[in-house]
Amino acid sequence: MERETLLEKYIQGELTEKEWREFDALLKEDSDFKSDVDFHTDLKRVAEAEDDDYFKEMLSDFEAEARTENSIKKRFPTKWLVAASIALIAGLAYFFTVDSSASTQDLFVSNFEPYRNVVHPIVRGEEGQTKKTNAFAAYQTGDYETALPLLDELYTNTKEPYYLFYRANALIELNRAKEAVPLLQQHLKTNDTLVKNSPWYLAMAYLQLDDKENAIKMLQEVIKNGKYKVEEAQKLLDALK
Amino acid sequence: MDNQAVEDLRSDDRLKLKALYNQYRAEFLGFGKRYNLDQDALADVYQEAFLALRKRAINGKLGNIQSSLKTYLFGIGKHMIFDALKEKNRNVSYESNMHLVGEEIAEIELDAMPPLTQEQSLLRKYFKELGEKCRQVLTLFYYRGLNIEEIAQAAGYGNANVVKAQKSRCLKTLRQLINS
Repeated sequence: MERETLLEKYIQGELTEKEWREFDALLKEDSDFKSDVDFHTDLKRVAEAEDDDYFKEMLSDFEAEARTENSIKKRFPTKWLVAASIALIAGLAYFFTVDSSASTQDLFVSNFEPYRNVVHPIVRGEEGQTKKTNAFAAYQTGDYETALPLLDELYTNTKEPYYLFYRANALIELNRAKEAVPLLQQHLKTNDTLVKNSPWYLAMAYLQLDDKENAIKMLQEVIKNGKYKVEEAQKLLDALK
Repeated sequence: MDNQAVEDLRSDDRLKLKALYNQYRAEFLGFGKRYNLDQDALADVYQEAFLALRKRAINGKLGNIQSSLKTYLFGIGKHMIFDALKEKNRNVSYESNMHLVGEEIAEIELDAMPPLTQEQSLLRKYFKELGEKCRQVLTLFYYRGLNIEEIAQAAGYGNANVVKAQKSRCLKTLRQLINS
């Protein structure tokens, strides 16, 4: 059998017993074949690691989306929840239907939530006092005032693009969307894995700034990308138009 | 095991994956509460367990499992919760509340993945430099275990020959990156 075919079958775990013998023999005799096998085995492991990372991000998006969906429901006054479901539906409609009275600020408040820290998970009780840990610990607990200067400094030192993204999130939460916009625009030009989330937050920043036109543009971008907060963007867009 | 769900886990269908994620999320967070972990920690565990489940699905290791998908997922999660608790050195009697649980969930321990070797880390750096199409074809072939025809279908290529050519081009580029 051709070496190439043998290798491919090996990678996909489809060697028959006879082919295994052939494979083993080649492996012993031929050092070129051995280095080929090593390369393909390494590539398999690398593809797995990359795919896992990609999937982890997807899961963390699912989690973030599940939380916003729940918290939108929770923000209604309790008596509405106790009241008939019609009231609840009407309440939801207030935010999500073609309601020209919904201001950009209302929409901002009911949709914005800073992105979770997925870059540097903090294990509680682990008091490694690195700057990065301090920054993300503060970010995670909602202490954006403390987190911001640390994130600024970390970005200056490392130039890691995700700091742009987290700084912008902190700024939006601190009602400083104007400063967040250029950071997100810069982030969009990088190849950071969080880039797919940036258009949504840029839209949030524009909402806070009452810049309807740009907010709509960004929401359309979110929908076009089809990756993060697609359904939310569609609802928001309907409410804005 | 629910074959349709296993199929969905192996797929790249974001909507189906999200539905599956949400299907057990609330219940898992409720299940985990009794171990005194907060919601963030439990959400992390849930995601880790969900990833482990998907990896098993991709590697074809769920076919022989008799229990339901949910029991299996919760079993993986339970083991991870205990690991998280051990790490925090909490002296909680883990099983003390178990009589409250209607359905006994058996802990399931999975082998941890070995970290990347030095060569693999380097290879990963070059892999990241490949175009999206290349990364997709190589991932589907090497990790997901799809054969050439399946890749042609899944990734919308005209026919198997196009995939074959694409794959060898990508491998060539990768080798060039390494040797450059």
